[in-house]
Amino acid sequence: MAWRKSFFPKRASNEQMDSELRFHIEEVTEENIASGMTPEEARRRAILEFGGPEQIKEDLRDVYRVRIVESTIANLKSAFRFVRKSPSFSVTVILTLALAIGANSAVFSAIDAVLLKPLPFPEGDQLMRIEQRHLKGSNPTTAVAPVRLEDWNRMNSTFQAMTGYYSENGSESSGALPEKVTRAWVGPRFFQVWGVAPATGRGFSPEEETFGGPAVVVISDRFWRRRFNADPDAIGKALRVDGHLFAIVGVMPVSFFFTDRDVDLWAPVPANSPEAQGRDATWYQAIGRLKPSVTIEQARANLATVQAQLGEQFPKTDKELTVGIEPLKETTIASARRSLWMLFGSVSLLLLIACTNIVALLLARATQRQHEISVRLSLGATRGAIVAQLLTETFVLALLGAMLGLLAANGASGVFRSLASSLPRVEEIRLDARIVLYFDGLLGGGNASLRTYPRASRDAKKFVWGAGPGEPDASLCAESFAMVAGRRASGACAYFAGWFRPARPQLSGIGTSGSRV
Amino acid sequence: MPIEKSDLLQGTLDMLILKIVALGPVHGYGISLRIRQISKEVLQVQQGSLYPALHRLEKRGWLASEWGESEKGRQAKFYKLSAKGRKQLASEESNWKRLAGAVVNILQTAE
Repeated sequence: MAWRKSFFPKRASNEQMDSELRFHIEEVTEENIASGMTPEEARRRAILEFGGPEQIKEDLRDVYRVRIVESTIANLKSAFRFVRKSPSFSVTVILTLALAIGANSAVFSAIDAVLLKPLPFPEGDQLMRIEQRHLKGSNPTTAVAPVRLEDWNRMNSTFQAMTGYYSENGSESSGALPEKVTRAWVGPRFFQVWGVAPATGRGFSPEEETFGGPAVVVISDRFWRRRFNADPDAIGKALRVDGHLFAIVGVMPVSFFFTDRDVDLWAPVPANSPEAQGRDATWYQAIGRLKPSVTIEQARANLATVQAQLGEQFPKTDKELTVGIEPLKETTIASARRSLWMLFGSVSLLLLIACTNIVALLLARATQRQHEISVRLSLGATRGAIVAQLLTETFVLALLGAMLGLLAANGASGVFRSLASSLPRVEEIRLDARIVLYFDGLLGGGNASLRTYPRASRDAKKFVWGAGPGEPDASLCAESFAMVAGRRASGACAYFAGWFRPARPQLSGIGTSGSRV
Repeated sequence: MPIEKSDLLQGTLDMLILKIVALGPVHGYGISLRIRQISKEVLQVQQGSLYPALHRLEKRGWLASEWGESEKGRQAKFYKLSAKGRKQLASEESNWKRLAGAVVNILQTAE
């Protein structure tokens, strides 16, 4: 804790103060006794002369008290005066900060939502995409035959459940006008795999998942609002899709859009329905939920064994097939990953450019303020007080920049969502205040330390020790060097940022396959 | 008639303390005693001013302190001058001499 000792000056404890003052009173008492007083009188006089030890102790405590609130308010006032006094400088710095913070926050929000956060399902990391792969042939990965998926689901030991789905457009004609709907045919255990239950009503019963059972659908929240005006009595009503009647049994929560965000209805495919029997009828997209603490390697090995057994059982259709398992999140965002990181790289360089520019501006500014700082130092301001004042100014600039940056980021997030609407998971992108704060801290802290420290301490040294004749030249030289270096760095960053630019337009084109998961 | 602290020029007490402490490590009581003796009872330092001044000077790093035994074997806090304090004392002394000299000059001219 050596740094603490050096940072906080040693302060006397209460006992130390007491014993220091007690010593004084005792000495005076003895002095009085020596001059002929009785001990009681001597002590009374000593205490009287002392004028109240408690009052003195309070004064002593005042010596060590740092007036944080007062000095902070004074610093804030002077910082706002500084900002108002040089509007063009302040506006430049604030706008640069706002731009950098806004762009970075918007892009980082996108990266956070798309790449970093788990899928918005309970235990989303357990969700796997399961593929049927052909060892030979031009198209190695195909859809899965429903009957084979049932075999996998029955024979494996690593998945909680597997399911499949297939979506198509249909025409719903129970209303006044026919309407185009997107219908997903889903295999057994569909809602169980997602871990999401209908918000209203129920999922499919075993009879409904048996061929020849009642024909039912679960509808999406969007369809429920559009068609039934969110009427709870919609449960039990019938829809006529492509000429067949389906009873509505449930409504999914608003956050559930799968297979894609356009889906209106989910209808069960019974495992024993005739279309699902052929081992060559491959029309399912398959997903599964791993058992807790099962790794993807274990699942792959397990399914390889299962498929080998099926290969012996059905040599004609299954011999040359293997099973592919990938995290659903990876297959959803794979197409966007590279572009997003590229974009992040380019806005990070933008941030660097902003930082170097602001540092250069502040350095230039500090040169002009050398006089002011010298005056304050010679009037008795401590080095800490000067640093605190300069830090407060930078803090106020950063705060204003961040507030503007928050607005910019909010707008940029909206623009981002509309430009890259085909980006997977784009609807999950939300501006996160923590991200803005983080970038703000980064910028403000970086600038402040870069700017104030060398200058203020150098000025203080000059004041305390007296400046040698050569010293001001040396410091000016170092300063110009820093400014030129800053300019160079920002030039280099601008070059690299431009280099990354071609990556941006691609973003709007990517993810079309991803969004159809 | 003794001069109270409030009548002393601002900052003079600090200089006097530094000067006394420069003679060797000494406790607060000793400082007040010596100021009284050396000034021939003209200057009387109130304890209410002495101790805050001592702590202030210590906080600035001009004084260092140490607990030790007094002549009569009591625990007392002894102050001594630091290198920084020595420098400060030198500059304050020369300032004071210049100021006092100037005041004396003016008084003599006015006579």
